Formats: sequence, C-alpha cells, structure tokens
Amino acid sequence: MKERLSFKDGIQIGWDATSLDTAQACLRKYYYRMILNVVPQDTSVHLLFGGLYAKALETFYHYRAEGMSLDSALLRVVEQALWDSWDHVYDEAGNVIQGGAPIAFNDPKKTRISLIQSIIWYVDEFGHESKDGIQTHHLQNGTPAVELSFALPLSEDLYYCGHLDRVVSYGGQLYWMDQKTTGSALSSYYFSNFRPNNQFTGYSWAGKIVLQSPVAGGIIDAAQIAVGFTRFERAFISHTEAQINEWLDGTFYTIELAQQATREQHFPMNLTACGNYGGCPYRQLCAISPSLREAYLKSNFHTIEPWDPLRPR
Amino acid sequence: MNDIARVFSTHPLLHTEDDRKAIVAEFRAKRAVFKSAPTATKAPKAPAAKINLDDLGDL
Repeated sequence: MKERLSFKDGIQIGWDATSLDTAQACLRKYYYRMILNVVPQDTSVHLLFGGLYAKALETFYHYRAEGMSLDSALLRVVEQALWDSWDHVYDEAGNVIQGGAPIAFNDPKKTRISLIQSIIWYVDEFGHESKDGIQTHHLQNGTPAVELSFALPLSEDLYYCGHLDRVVSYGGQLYWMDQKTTGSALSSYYFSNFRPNNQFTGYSWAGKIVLQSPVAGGIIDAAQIAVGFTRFERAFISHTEAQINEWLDGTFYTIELAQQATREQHFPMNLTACGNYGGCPYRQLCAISPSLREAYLKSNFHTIEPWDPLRPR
Repeated sequence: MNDIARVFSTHPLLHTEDDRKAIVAEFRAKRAVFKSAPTATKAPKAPAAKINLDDLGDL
C-alpha cells in the first residue's frame, strides 16, 4: 500500500474540502471515511457520474488550450468517457482485453448514455470561447491554467490541498471554474447550496496564492441530468476578504477538532446530519448496536484506497 | 458499425472514429430538437426561489 502522505503519526495534516465537509458533518462519519477508509459496497452513482463528467470537461479544456479544434477535442473526450465508463477486464500482464460490460449506473437519469449526451451538449452550450467572452487563462510561463493541483501551507505542519479544474479570464478578471451535475432542477435554491461552501471558498482563497493575482470569484457550470435531456445553468460566485478569513478561521477549528478526536479515538455522532443529502452512507451502520457493528462493517462495506489530498493527482 | 445502440454496447477497443462521430452527430441532432421544441413541451424550469420578507410577519 502507498504511503499516506496526508497523515503523520495517524493524524491528518493534509486537508481538502472533502475532508473538511466530512469532519464538519459528523466526526463518526470522518472516522469511517477518512480513518478506516470504508465505504458501502454500492458505489454512489452520483460520485461516479460526476467524476467522469468533470474529468471529460477538464480534459476537453486542456485539449482546447493546447490548440486542438473544438470538434477534435470533443471526439477525444467522448472516446475517453466511453472507455472510462466500461467495466474492463485485464489479461495476466494487466492489459485491457475485450470483454467486460458497460458500467451499470443503476439510476434512471444518470446513465452511460446521458453521460455522453451531457458532455456533447455541454460543449455545444459552453465550449465555444471568444475573445470578449470567457477564455482559459494562461499562467506567466505560458501554460494554460487547467488541472492546477495545489497544496498550500496553512501553518507549519498543516496543508490545504485542492484542484482547480480551470481558471478563466472574463471582463479583465480571473475566475476559477467548476462543473457540477445534479438530478434536481437548477433553481436559485440549488445554487444556494454553494454559498457558503468549503470547496468554493477554498478555491477563492487558494486561487489568489496559486495565480499570484487577485481572483474575482468563481463560475459554476451546473448540469441538470434528466430523463431524455440535460439542462445547463451558469452561476457566478464571489467571496469577500472577510468571508475568506471567516472560512479560514472555521477551517482551523474543524481541523483541530478532528485531530483531537483522532488522538483520543473518540468520534461522537452528529445525529442531526444523518438525513443530509439523501441520507448518510453510514446511517445504517450507526443505527445498529455497537456490538454488532464490526460484523456489519465486514459484510456491507469495503475498504478503499485511503483519501490522500497531499498525494499529487 | 455506426449504429448508436450497438456502439454503446460494444467494447471501446472496437470503436472507430466514425463511430464516435456518429454519436456526436446523433446527440447534436437530439439537442437541436430539444432546443427548438416549444417551451410548453419542455420540462418546466423551476422558478427562482423568491421570499417576500413582508409576507412572513414577525419571526
């Protein structure tokens, strides 16, 4: 197993928005997900779909920034998404061979076909760049500002990590950009979920440091995945200096709390968070008697590669 | 190959550039139909959440 860079003596020192969200939601959830690295047997369709979609669009913008035509870049990412959404089988040498099957998403809206459709529709909706519109920003060394991973020191032995899919210039200002997918309608209520938000406030904080330039805020391209169609909305988010400082203050507090819980091996449940976002994946585990949990864990959960924000992508 | 359903059920190693072009063309055509459909036949768009604080009275 790879060395876990984000932990030192069992205590997490490399943090990101996912770790923060988990620790803020519930310390018991943090224990299961970040310390034990166990997840339910069924992979979340939303994570899988969102990950493949974001990867495709990130790659699309990378190709475009390298000078590839829109249609060629689109064909390349369609090829990649078709490949990534196939459950491959391998020969003894580890090479992909024919066989396997399309990944079963087990969801009426988020399917392999709607994934490919959404990528193509997104490119036709937002993929065209113009000189007076949104354009990929180029760093001082000339490289396009896409797929920017960062690990910034919060203190002497604490780091905050993240990954900016793309930084764009618009109206003479810089914005980070992110992709979201949802099965819900793209209402103002949907976008209010991102204000406030660890991931995006963290981007605004880190963006200034990574780019060595002021960042006006962020742009969220959201896709509503429905049966038969995909609808898009674009929203702008900005953070004041005071909001960013307040977020930093809360971040330090959360990290201290989670580190203390880890040192004491005491992870109390936050019972008010069990129903959030359609229900916590560990809810059933917490619901049974403590004496039965270990057996329940073994039969209904599996161990995955440890979350390691400090490890470069 | 070029039959969309068949492309989706076939291993990606067997796909050709023409297969991928056919997929892109198919979904672009579908989008054109979706975009040109009268608003009434499209799925309703959720209204923006509007709260009039005066309607809430004293909280």
